[in-house]
Amino acid sequence: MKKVYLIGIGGTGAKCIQAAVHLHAAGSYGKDVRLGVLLVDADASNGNLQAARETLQSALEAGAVLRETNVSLFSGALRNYGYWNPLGEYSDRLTLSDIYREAGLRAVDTGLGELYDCLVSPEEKQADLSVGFRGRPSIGSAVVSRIRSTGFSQGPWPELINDIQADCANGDKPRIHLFGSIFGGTGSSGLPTLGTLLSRELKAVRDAVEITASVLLPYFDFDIPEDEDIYAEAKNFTLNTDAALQYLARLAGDSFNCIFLVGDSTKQRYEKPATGGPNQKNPSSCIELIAAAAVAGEPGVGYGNGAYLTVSDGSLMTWEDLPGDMTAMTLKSAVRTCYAWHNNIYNELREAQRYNSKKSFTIGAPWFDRFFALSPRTNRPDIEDDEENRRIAAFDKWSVDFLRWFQQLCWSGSAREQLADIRDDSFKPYEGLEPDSARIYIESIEKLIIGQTLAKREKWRESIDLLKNRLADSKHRLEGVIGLINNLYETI
Amino acid sequence: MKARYIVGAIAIALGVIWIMGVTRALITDVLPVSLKDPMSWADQVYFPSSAVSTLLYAGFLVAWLYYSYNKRCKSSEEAKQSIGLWLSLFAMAVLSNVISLVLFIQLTVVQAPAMPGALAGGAFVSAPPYEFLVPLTVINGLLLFWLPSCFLSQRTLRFIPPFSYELSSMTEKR
Repeated sequence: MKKVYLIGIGGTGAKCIQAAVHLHAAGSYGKDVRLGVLLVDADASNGNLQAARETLQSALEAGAVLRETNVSLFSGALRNYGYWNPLGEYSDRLTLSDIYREAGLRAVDTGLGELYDCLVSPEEKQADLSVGFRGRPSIGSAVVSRIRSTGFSQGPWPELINDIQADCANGDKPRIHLFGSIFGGTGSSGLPTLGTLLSRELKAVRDAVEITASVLLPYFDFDIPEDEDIYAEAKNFTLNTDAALQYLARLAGDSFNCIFLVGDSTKQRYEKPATGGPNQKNPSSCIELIAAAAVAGEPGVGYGNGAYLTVSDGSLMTWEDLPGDMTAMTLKSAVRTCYAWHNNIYNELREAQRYNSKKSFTIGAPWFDRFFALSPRTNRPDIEDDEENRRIAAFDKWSVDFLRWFQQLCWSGSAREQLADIRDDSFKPYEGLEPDSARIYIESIEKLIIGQTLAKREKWRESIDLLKNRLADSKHRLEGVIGLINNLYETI
Repeated sequence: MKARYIVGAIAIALGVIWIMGVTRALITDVLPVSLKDPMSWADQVYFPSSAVSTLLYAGFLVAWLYYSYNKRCKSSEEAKQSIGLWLSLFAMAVLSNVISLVLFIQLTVVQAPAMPGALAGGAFVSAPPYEFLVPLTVINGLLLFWLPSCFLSQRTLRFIPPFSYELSSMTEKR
């Protein structure tokens, strides 16, 4: 089993984690992969972080009830190492001056205080760091690097380090992959710093551990937020990037086995920027998808110890831009499966639950009795079982999150849709046990995937009705909701 | 080939044998019909009528199979609404067969050899056996339309004909 540990640093890192969790659930990293996830951010209320945590939670819940051996969806284990706030131990001191005890510093050594004045502006000294490092790597690196003094003994780090060391002891070759932007505050300060510190911490097993990173170059732009004095400024992105790349090249490069630089010449523009907090919830971007897909890329195999990943066709991303042998194929299947589920299968299952005679439902749905019992005499799962209900609800919740995320990235960065034509942006989970009347029934998924042309003999795959018929034509190893969604995924 | 298609083909063959052979034998040799010359009547009225009947049922069956092959249903509910079409086709098939039979009976003048009773001046009422023909036509419909449609209906509409789920389950363990 392949073991991968993902560390998302800052808001962009969290968004990459969101993409990576979706890819893992969709089977893009392979069937036999255990994924561990850790989120790092100084801004606990950051909207992007919250979105990533919600995705992680829904994938964990779905995985808990849908995991089976040798399936495609949710086949790999997922472990949440939680969240680490670099400011965690300074919760009562949320300015840089508080953290470095400026008054004490000056009292001990006047020269040190003056050096501090040279390196940090008065505004930066007093900026409230509870909403992150405000696009200032100098603030972030000063805070994050203090973890060195604790020896990774804080928060979730001991557990993560222990698991990595245990993997090495078992003869595995775990991989640590870090995500973060290199142009903002938290990512650009945290990614090189944490990569270097982890490499040093794992010195004893360093040869058995691969440390890689997806480093996101400036890929979005925004106006000056109205809410704060000290804020991330897009005009500083190039400067920040230059400094961070130089740091990576000169000082941190040896700590990484492979660094994937991910960027796009066309910048996505965020309409309502916020410096941090819950309002900083930016839409997903195809660049984050590429960054997450880089986990499927093997260091040294085609990529050497570094690669630049970008959108090849001007401002529009195509499926060919995704790294990894299986990424495009598995993601297409997942998109088609979730779309068919959301707009057809879900309501069909809820409708079936309302029938007293399941045979009566099967008369119009020949696929149904391949997966569910028509009477208590058969061994197949009962659609009304609590367990099946939990599976329906869990998969629906995850698929809504997945479709929302994918819909956003389909419209990111350009005026035209890319990867898939999903115009509906109102995906909502449904709590009830009856069919969701807000969902329209669709029959054709012909134009869903952009750039996918099926041969004439494969055209049946564009019809949900014919896909269901294919499921109705034979028996399946797995039955119930697990069997239905996995066989649909394989057939679609 | 799937077992249910073979059974469907056998059902059609059985229907043809029933309509062209068994029913004819029932009229001429078994049923108490009031016909002057059952053999001539069967040859000149029933046989061509049954040939047309077979073609009519086959036509309606093909129409249903074509529809079931090409119909795309969004939901189970939508698929089940096709029962209305199936029943209409079945009713139209039976009705058109009854009309065709009546037309054959009314428009065909039976050429029968002279009978000894008639030569002797005896009276004989030659009444078409509608009381048998109409039920037989319905049985023809069951054999040539309902039964094959149970096994040959396509895709999502495969279980729409009445009892097709039960019959299909006999040929294919579900």
